[in-house]
Amino acid sequence: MKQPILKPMLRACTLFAMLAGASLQAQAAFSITTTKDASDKVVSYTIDTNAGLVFKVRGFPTDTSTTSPGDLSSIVYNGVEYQDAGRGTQVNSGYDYIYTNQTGVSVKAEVVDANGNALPVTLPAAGQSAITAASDYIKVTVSTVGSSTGVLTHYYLVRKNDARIYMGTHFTAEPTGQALVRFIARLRIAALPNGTPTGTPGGLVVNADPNRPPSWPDDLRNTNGAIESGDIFGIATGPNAGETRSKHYSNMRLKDWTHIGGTGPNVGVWIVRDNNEGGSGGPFYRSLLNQITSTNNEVTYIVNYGEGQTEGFRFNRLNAYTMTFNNGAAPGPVDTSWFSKMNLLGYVPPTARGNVFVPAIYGRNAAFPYTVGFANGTAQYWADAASNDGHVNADGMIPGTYTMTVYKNELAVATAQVDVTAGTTNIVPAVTIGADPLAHNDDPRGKWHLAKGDPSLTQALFRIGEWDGTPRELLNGDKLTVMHPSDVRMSSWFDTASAANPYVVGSSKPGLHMPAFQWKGLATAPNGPVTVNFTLKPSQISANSTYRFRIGITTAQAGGRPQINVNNWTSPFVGSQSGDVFPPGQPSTRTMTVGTYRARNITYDYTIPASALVAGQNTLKVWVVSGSTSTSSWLTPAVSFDAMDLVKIN
Amino acid sequence: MQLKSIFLTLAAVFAIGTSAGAQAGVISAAASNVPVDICDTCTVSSTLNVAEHGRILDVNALVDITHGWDADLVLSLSHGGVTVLLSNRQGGSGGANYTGTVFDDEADIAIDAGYAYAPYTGSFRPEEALAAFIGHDVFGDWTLMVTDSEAGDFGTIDGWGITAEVPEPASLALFALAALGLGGVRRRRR
Repeated sequence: MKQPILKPMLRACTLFAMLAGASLQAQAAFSITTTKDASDKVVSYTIDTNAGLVFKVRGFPTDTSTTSPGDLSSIVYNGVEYQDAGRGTQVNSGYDYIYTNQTGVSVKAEVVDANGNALPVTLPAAGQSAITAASDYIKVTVSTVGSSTGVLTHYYLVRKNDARIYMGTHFTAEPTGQALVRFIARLRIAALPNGTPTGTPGGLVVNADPNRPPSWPDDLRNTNGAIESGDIFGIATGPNAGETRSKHYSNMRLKDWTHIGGTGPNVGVWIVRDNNEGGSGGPFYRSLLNQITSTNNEVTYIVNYGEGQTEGFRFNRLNAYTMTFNNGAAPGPVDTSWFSKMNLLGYVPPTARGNVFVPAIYGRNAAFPYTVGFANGTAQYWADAASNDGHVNADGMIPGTYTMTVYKNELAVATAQVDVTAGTTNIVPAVTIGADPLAHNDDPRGKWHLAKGDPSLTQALFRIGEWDGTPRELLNGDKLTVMHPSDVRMSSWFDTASAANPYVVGSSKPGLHMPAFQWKGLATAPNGPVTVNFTLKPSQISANSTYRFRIGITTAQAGGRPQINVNNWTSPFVGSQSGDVFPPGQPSTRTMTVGTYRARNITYDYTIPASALVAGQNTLKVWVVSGSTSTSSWLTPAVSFDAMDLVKIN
Repeated sequence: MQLKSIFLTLAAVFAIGTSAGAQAGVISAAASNVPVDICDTCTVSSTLNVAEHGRILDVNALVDITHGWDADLVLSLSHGGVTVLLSNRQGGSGGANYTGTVFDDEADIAIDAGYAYAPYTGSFRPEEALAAFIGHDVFGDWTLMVTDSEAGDFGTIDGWGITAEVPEPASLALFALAALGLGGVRRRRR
């Protein structure tokens, strides 16, 4: 009896499902919906990508300190809202306070066809919404208004059937309201609760101690208050007690990553970067990139940043980056060739760019990677040197004259000027890396210099560490980018290379016994000199010989610089004599406690009289001098070591 | 007849090509009279014998030495009246031992390069080129000499050996076949 009734019901259900599907299909058409409030102001532009991603650009709401016109106020992917309702996804803290002299923000939405023809969207009546169908592309332009009209322009660009928000930020002057240029996606932690895998910026750190659970270094959940400057936090209890967390520890060398993001169950939200030609700091620059809090997963794309910065900021470039949504897998490269149709400020098409080819680099040490950087006032690029012959292809550069720098790992060991011409490949002469000269003109008194070759090519009586522009091979060097120096996972900074337990040349190991950093003074730890014992044989000592001790540093804080003592002889130091010339300044921002060791590589030189050395055991001490003090122990004057060696010159 | 000469020509070309591509054989020999003590401020040596013949195309030397102060040591290798300086008081202050050190003219790093470190594990170019042995017969005695030039440290030659590339007998035969083939072609053309 029930069979005849069931069958029509099943048919009806099937029909309903089909109709419902068709209805959803209709709603998902590639379009932009403009909504006005009762006062006839556009409050939002809702863009449906027709690919499962629907997002909303704030129009003209009554903004707050955390929201602004131009924000992304809603990001829905596969039916899940990712945007924090209380805050915008925006440049800095909102487009309405990029510059102190701006009076507002303009937001303009257009649809663009395949030929690049743009049409404004349909405007509804007050209190209504109007849908504008788009054929190929949608473009939303956000721009600062007032005395700073057009100084910063941000684009949201969408391509039909593509679950990505393509973006570009162009500015002609550095922000004055909220400093620097950062696009911050503030995504609900409930929807995007996790960081990213090991090996990515902010990626999972797996501890050597199996009792310490893996963690994201930028995950502030379960922390117990700041331990430094309000942005570095400690964990007081639990299996990770004693560890530190900060957004700063999400850093990674710029050349080593292509995307940043957050993940959740079967979802990943990513920002894929362009070539960063409009950024500053070069291929090894590190900055914060992510922060996980109890409310938000903040994915931060740094267009330019000040911390540990060694270059001026660059303007008038279209800084392009793309927010990508997927199932959590690493996003692939994005195609931005269609930007040529979008009439974007600062866009330079491939045809207006040129290439450089370096046929070979000689004098390399096969144990190190080599990178070639190109920089001038308006753009920066880099490319890897091939491991076999060192050849380099640097493509897609904006025409101009660049300083080309060859880096042995991160140490600049050769430079040259190269020209880039649109539409051509400039084949420049092969580069030969020579030994860093022992005589130089940087400092008339010879107390310091900037490497102009590879210091390793000069034989040394002993050498501690590798001349590669990093302290990574020294004690704690493997950890200092992802945790604070006080973190319990660090090896003790002060138990080795000390007076009680000196570094012994020939038996001590750099990675175990020579600390990567040295501080002038710490309130809670000894600040004794780094102590090195080394032995010389009679044949190695000659009254007529000159001995040079070289210390390479990668950065310093609070004016720190090294001074040495060998047996009974104490060196002068930079600043110890009237008229001393100081080396280029290190960044005034924090570096060594916020996960970076990189700023300016400087070599300090100490000429040791032969009479100071003895056949047999010698003791060398290194300590930090500075006229500065700090009330925060780990911010006391300090240096980050690259390498140190003793050279017998003649 | 014409077909036959083509075959002979092809055989000759193939044989020459094969001969050029796979002519090298390898002869390795290790010293058996080790360890040898390196006394302070004196010269010691260790000799190995190669029982096979072959014209040397390339030769490398592998050395394992325990010594507390490499900069005391001068290492050289002799064979057939030729002596090559391998390492001359390298090691700086406190550099100890040669561990798995291969002296190879084709190595990326020279033993006296600033970034070559004791215990010199890996391949290094010697101070004088081992190419001096090229063309000699690998057969006979090879002698590693170690001079300790300064007092205070001593050690041992723990092991050492040579690896030489020589033409393979098979490739010699192929070369001979090629020569015969070419000769045959020439004879028929006449």
